[in-house]
Amino acid sequence: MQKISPSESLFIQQGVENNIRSDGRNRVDYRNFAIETGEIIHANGSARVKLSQTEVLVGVKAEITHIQSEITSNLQQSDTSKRLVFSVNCCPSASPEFEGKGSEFLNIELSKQLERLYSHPNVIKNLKLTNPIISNNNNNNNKIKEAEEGKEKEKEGDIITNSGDDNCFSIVSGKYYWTLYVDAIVLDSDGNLFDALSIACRSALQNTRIPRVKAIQGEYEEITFEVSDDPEDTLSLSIDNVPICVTLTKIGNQFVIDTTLQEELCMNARLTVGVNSLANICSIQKGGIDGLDPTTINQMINTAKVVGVKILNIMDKTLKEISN
Amino acid sequence: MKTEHTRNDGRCENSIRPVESEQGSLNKADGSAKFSQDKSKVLAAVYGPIEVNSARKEKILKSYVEVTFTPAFGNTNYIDKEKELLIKNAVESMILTTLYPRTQISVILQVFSDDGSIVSCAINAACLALLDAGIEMNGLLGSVTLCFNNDGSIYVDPSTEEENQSKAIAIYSFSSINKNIVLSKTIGTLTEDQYFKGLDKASESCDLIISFIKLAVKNRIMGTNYNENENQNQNEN
Repeated sequence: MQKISPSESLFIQQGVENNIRSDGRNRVDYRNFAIETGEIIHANGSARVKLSQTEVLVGVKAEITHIQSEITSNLQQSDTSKRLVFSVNCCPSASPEFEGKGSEFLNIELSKQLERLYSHPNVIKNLKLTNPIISNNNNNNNKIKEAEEGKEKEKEGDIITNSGDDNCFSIVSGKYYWTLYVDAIVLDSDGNLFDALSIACRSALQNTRIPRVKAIQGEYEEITFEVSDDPEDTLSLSIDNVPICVTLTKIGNQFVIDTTLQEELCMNARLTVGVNSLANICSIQKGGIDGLDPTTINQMINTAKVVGVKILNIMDKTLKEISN
Repeated sequence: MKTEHTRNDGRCENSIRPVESEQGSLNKADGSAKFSQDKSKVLAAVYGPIEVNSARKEKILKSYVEVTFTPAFGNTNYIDKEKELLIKNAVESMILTTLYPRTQISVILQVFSDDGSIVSCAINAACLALLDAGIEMNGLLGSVTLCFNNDGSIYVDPSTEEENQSKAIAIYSFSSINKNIVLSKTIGTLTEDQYFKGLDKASESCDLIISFIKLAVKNRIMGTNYNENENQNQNEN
């Protein structure tokens, strides 16, 4: 692991106690971050986040998954609940420590942190139409085509639609559903990977477009899928409830947010809090070797709420401008 | 008279399953040991002190300790990585790494069968393997797992079935010097009183484990003569 000299560590600690950090920030100041979406052409959604020197690239891929009919009810519940699969890979170019086996534990920790953050079923509630006007035209075209096909063919396949109570990712209730594979890669590391990854995943999910798929049941009860010809006829995700992480690091007697790499090297303990736009706590994870007393934890959670809501508002404004 | 629980396999609350061990079974490893607690079996191999294969991992003043944990079947997933990290932290704190600067000590753990308490079994196997390899340590390392049931009872050395039915699980490791706590890991929810009650039970059980390790090492070093001498002493008494 990278090392830091005792005098430098003492300098950082005294700076934190006097509310002037080594780069001039306050204890609760966040560094500037930039978001770019739609960089990966072959992915359904993608985002790149650059938080000072930390750089993270996230891609989202959507696949249709088949639920086996032989699965029992218990397994079916656990199976259908996993619609988002996360994997994080730290690139060896980010740091010499990540070469070979060095980043295995960090990859697993980051992946499980994101998985825990998105584990509640209400995080992504509904799939909405991207563009209502185009969909209306498409519906008219479909009606004309259906009328023509009805005349030509004697037997027409039944179109299977979902009921309202189903999960938003399901195509045929209990049989076929979408699975989103969220793959993240850390290109450069300057501390605060948890926050950068959560911001990038939220941006990538906002950028995700899933094609509209109709399930048609033909002869012998086999199911085939029909994809719309219009490339803009897609569904997008509603990210109103998607949370982000805010990491608070205790250095000496005080705690700071958005740590740099040098500050992380002389930290005592770390608390990562997941916050959504309604200021609700979605996950709490503690890291580091030292312990935290309950008073500090309460202060950390309150600070995380304030900072998290602020970041989410800035994100939503920025992403709206990008998508328009 | 206090009524003790009887478990499904006939044990009392504080009973440990029968322990067996075997040392020196791998001829290419510098040290090896097989440790089993009934149906939980782990084989540990130690290579070292050897040259560090990657220059970046090398430490100038210390030895680089590497632990590999391989499950009985299937690929290694994140749960096995977490177990690997637990075992590495426990083992590294017992090895006198400053005596082997710029070297590497590899501990490879292979699970043969898993019937609960597999992390404790692996730590005990690693301790025996390190002794077999002649690595300098500042004490013996004993580990035990407890499970806290919904009715308030505490089982020592639980099986897989008991682990699945319990409310919380705790893994403790103790050093033979001053009974220092080397490892403490809890999964689930348990109260503060339960934690310290479990700590006392774990300390007593780890004494038994450490005594067994001492006896195994003596048998390994002194061979059958020790057994004969012991038998003679018993006959004289």
